[in-house]
Amino acid sequence: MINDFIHPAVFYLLGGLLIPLLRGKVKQGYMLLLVVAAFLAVVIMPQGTYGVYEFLNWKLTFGNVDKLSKVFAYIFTIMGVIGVIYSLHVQNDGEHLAAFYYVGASLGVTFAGDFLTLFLFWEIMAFSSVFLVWYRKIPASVASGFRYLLWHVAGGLILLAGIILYYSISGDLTIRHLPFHGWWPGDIEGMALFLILLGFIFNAGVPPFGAWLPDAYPAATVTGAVFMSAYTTKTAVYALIRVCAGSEILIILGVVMAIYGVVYAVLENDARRLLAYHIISQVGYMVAGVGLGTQMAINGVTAHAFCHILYKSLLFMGISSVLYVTGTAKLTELGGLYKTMPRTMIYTIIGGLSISAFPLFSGFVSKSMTVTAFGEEHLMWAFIALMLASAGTFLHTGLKVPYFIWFGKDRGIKAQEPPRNMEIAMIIGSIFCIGLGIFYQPLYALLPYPVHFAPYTAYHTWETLQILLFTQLGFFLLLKKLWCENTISLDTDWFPRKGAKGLMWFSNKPLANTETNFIGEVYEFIIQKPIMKVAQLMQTIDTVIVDGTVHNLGRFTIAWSRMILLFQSGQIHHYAMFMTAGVVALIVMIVRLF
Amino acid sequence: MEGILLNELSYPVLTVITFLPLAGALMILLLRNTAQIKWLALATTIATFIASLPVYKYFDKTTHLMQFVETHSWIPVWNINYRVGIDGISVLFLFLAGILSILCVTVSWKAIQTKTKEFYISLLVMETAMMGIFVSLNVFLFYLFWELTLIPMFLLIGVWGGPKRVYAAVKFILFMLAGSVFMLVGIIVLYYAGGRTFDIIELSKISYPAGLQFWLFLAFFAAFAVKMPMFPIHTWLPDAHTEAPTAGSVLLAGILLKMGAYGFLRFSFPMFPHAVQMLFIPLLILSVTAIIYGAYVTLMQNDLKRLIAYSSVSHMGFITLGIFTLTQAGIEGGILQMINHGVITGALFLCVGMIYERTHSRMIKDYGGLFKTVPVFTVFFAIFTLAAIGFPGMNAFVGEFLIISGTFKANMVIAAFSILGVILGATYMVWLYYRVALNEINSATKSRLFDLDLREIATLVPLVVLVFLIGVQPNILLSYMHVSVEHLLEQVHTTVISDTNPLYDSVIGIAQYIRELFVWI
Amino acid sequence: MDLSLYFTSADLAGITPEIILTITALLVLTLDMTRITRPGLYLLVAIIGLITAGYVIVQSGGDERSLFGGMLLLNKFTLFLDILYLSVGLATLVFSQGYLEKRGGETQGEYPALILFAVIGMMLMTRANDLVMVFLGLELLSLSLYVLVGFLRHSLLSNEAGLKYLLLGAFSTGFFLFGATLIYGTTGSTNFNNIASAISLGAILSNGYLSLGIGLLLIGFAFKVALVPFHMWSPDVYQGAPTTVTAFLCTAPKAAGFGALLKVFIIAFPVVFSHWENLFWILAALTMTVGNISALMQSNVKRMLAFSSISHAGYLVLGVLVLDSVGLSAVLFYLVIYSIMNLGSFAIIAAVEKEESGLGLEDYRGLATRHPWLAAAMTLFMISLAGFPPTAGFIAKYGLFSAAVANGYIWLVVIAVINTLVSVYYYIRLIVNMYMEEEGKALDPVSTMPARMLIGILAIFVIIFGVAPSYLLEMAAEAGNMANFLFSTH
Repeated sequence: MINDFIHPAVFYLLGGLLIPLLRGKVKQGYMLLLVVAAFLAVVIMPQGTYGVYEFLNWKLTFGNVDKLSKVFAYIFTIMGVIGVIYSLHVQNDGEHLAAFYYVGASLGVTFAGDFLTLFLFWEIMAFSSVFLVWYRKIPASVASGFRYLLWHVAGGLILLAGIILYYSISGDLTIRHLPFHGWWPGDIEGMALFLILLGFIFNAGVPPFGAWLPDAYPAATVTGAVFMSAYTTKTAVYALIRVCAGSEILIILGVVMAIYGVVYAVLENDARRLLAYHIISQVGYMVAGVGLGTQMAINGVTAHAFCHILYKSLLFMGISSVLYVTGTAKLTELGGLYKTMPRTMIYTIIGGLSISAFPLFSGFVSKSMTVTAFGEEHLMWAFIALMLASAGTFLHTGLKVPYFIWFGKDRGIKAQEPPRNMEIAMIIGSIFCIGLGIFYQPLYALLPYPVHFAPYTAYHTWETLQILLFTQLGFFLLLKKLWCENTISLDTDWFPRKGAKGLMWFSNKPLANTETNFIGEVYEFIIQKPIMKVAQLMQTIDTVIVDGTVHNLGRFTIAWSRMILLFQSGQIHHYAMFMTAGVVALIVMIVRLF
Repeated sequence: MEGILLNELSYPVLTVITFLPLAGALMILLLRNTAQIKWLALATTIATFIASLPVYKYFDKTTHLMQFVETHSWIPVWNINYRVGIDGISVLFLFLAGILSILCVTVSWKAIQTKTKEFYISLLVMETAMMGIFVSLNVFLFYLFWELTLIPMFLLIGVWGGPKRVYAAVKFILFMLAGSVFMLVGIIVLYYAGGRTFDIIELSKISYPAGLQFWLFLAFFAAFAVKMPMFPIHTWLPDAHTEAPTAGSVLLAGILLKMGAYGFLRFSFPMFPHAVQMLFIPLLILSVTAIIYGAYVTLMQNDLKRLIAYSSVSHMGFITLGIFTLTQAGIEGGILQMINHGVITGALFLCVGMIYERTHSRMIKDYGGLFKTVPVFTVFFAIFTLAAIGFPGMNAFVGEFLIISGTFKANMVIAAFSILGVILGATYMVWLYYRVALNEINSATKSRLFDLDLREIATLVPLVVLVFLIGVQPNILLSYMHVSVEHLLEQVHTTVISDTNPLYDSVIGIAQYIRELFVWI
Repeated sequence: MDLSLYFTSADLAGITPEIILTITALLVLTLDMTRITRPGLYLLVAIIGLITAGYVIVQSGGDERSLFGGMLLLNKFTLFLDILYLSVGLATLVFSQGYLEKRGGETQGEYPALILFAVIGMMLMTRANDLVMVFLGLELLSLSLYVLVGFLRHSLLSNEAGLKYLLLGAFSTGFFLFGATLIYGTTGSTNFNNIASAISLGAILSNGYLSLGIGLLLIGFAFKVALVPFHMWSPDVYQGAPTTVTAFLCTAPKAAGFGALLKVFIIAFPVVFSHWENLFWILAALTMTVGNISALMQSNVKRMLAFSSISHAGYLVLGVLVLDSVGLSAVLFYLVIYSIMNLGSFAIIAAVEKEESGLGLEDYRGLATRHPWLAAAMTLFMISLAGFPPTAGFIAKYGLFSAAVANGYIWLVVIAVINTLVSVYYYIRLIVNMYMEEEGKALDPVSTMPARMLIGILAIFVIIFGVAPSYLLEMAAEAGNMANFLFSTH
């Protein structure tokens, strides 16, 4: 058995090491070879437990293969292929290496059978992905990369704390289903599970812990963003499914996320940041689904993660190509690119339609399943909220982005189609998006639980289309209002406008402000300021009080010494006087004695 | 006598590895040529290390008894024997001391230009003292070596150190003595309380009256806490570290700081178990204070060596934390972490020393973008930074994992705080790396920077190997200590107070009160 | 008339060393008179005298002997100290070779002769078993010292020191004599054993007078060994005196003073001693503290060592306080080690010293680079004085502290160790100046070959007695047995 299980991460982590040694075509071929090999390794992989390894007195399991881990491994390796193809042209070996380690680590997490292994790869992911940000090599990216890293280190250590705490009470490290049902003081296990959950949702980008996400992704390199959009959050979702499925709190968090992402995306001007918000929104669906924890929900979440990686990466690839070609991803600076980059436009729109769950596109078959799961559980508020969120998604990704980039006002930007490898990657992505939208059975077959759900029932289709059409209508009527400025006139009367207006106002005033603070200065306010303040204080204490005490002790002794030396006057009669004094003292003592 | 295993090797191995460096120092005394001196010093350290290898090979991991024991009469008038031996707690330090000494010689190869002879003599005397501390089974002998470390280190800092070296050196020696003189009194009292013997094994068998234990614990604590250094008495460390030459800093961080913790394990635990149990909660709090306080102060440092020095305050906090949890995991983690800290901090000081040799600046602001200017160096630096953070798969992670899991058993709240400490630790290390290696290139020092040469790489590689080896296979080291630590713990936990001397009742009252103060945690 | 009424040949045999030394001294003076001005010659003769005397003493084997009807009492204790005096005198003579010329005092026969007389005086002090004999010895010693201290006629400092020493010395001697008379008045005898038996039998006039007498006697000794507050003379005298004389002055006479003090209290006042513990406690604490604290700020090496020797006297009182065989042997051991360390360091100072200069700490800057061996030796002496292992200084201190703790004086020991901590500061100041400060103005130590060799030997002793003290310790223990023996008789 063992010999037909080859850990796909091996290709990334060990194989990757050779990349810097190779050059040109050979290197590109080699990289492709690696990623394809990794994919095949997943394909031939039988279920079971492999790579068990003794460490201290614990069993580390590196290869825990079941349906769940396998489906995630599939999509991760597929995404690896796409991403590598997309970044073939990149010259910086360091960037390749970082990407490879990032992907490899996420695979490691997928197959981890115990918390320690999981944590190991968890950290490798954080530390390798940060380089994808840093290699953008602009000051902003260095700074936000550093913030990104701190968020993840903090998250990781909270996770570690949870793990250790759980270990210290259960004495067991194997990953098992540990839903969190609330904590009350003195409940150690609850505390442990909470910490673990917290560690995961740090990576899942659940607000407010998701602050790193829209902060780092827009700052990442052209190709780095593509990778990052796919792995970090989805690995977290995987971990949540494994460990925390059915933790009620996740439903609320998820729904909040779904809305939050959309709302913040409303006025976003940087296309990549807009997409980043949509990751939050989409992951919200998954988190909520995990919270629900029914078989259908889990299926939906898995499927959605699968599709999401594909269409979100497709979108990122599209926008990144625009960035790569034009050097900017600001909606206000783009426009009218349909002439120069028509094919890229098509791919992007395909991605947009998929993310908005347009029938016949991949998003539909997975999202509808998730949402329906809520319907079946009669969680209507969640059901509605998620529906609205998907409407919002369509509004921005499906309509706004394409409009502003490809149509809208032609700013006469010189542009052409991106390099071939990028385009190939996008083509593959598009094929998947459409293919899965139509031939969804193979995907469903991969899901962890048997699927009793048919996406293309009249009901689902109609319902979805209705929402989407309404949104579309609203979009074109509100075109002006959706312009990417922060001021809007409020003279509107009919419904969609009102809705939109409310949305506008809501996202303008309170949110926009908190948002800018939150993303930009969360590091300032939550991390740097307090720590540095305290640090300064401590520093002062250290020099003034702790060290000062010693110094003053010394000074005191010296002063004393000086004082005593005054008696050593050199005058013989003084000396005689002191001796006499001594004699007198002695006599007095003796008299007292007897 | 019972309780020990005699040396089954054909030659007195411990005596050899203890006094070989001294012999080398005496030979150097007669040399004139600098090159010869260097080579002889290198040869001596390497020979010592090689001579110590049989110890690890033939070490019997299945017993807590002292091994390779040699006993000779020394000062019969005071009933003092020369007795050396090792157990699972001390054996690893020999290894660390042996390897670090070699690296200290190689790293000083070019750095030390003046008074070369004196330098290498001090270095070798230092090694003898360090080895001696860990093999002594006689309190008097132990104290002898304990103090013997002071003068060479004093000279290392004061003669070959930085601009404020005199201040640092004097501060160092006064702090050290302030601790150890009280230990001396403690030792004398112990001698009479333990039936006029200095034999550690004998002394460990006796159970002393509670109050006496309390006082003796404090007397020894003074010395060990200063050496560690624990929280309020750590201020000698940054100065000493900052001013000392690279070799000095490495030995300070690598070995001298560990002597305190080792002292706790060798003396305080087996001899004063009652006092330990009475005080371990306050000590835990002291440790965790040191962790967080140290980490915070570290954040504010803008001098590379000072930063690392303060980080050691924090790391040593972890070690005491682990030790005073009085749990198997905690103590093993503590010992392991001592080795790790020795390796990592030693390595970091070596790195800093290497760029300092080039630029003669320790200020962080003078660096930046080393990632581009000196890639090889930066790779090493990155590895050790990650190791210091406690990155999984590297040695410090195992240690911290054990320590924290032990702490969770001992006390929830403290454990939570210690996690905060880890986060802060990661913060300052990453920030340091970011400022030094990733920032835009700093023109101030760029011109003088050139990458590591073969000697320097050879100096760092062994430590890299250790970092990963311990990280992946900690059992190699842990297996040495399991049994000894178990035995130590049972000594601590199965303590019976023979008689409570009324004279000390008040003291016990105070101690009780102190303990109740912290019961709520 | 029959001399054997007064003394027998055995008595004469007992004092052969003194006789030899006297003859040597006279010989030296005669040589001086005969204008044979070759310094080496005086030295040679004096050294031969010392060595023969030492040989005779060792031959005598140190078994208990009472001479001149109980005037002198010889035993291992006195033997030990005698050897110490002789060797210190010998070392002093070796170091003085060439030093006096350097300081502008032309060589004369008096110098060695006076040293010899001083040695005789000290031997008498400790051998004495009778207050009068003690006094005689004390005076013989003091008188020769007064001259020696002021030996450099052209140096004002030296003269001043001599005068101060003379006046204050006379002052204290008066106390001593007065104390002796009081004791005689109360007990009716000056012989130690008779005093002791009188006290133990209670056949004394008045406790008050006795105590007063003992107290005044104590002051006499306290002055000699410079215990606070009777130490005021020592810094000035030590600083002013020719360095070699200082070396002699702060080692042998201290030993003699402590020797006589111990002998008096052990033999004459064992019973009443318990009353005096508190006093000694205070004296010890005061002396070491004041000595160390004052030494902190000294910039003149000689003066610094003067204060340090005060503090060492304080440590020694710990041993007096214990006053059993252990304490006694500890004191004896300490005296030897202390003499070695001080002789060594003063010898180096004498070598470095220039005409009225070269005594400041900063004069030692750069010594380590130009004269590494000398600097190393000095470092060794300093860390030994500071009491670092593995030097002899540590063993000696340990012996005293251990004895004190054994008798429950823990807090006094704590004070002592804190003092040690303080003292380290000024001892390492010298090391700092030699090794760590930037190079100062060039200085070239002048010293004769034998002197340099002797310094080396002393340095080696410091190490040897630090790592292998057993032999010396055993000898000290044997010498210390006097305490047991005599306590048992009472």
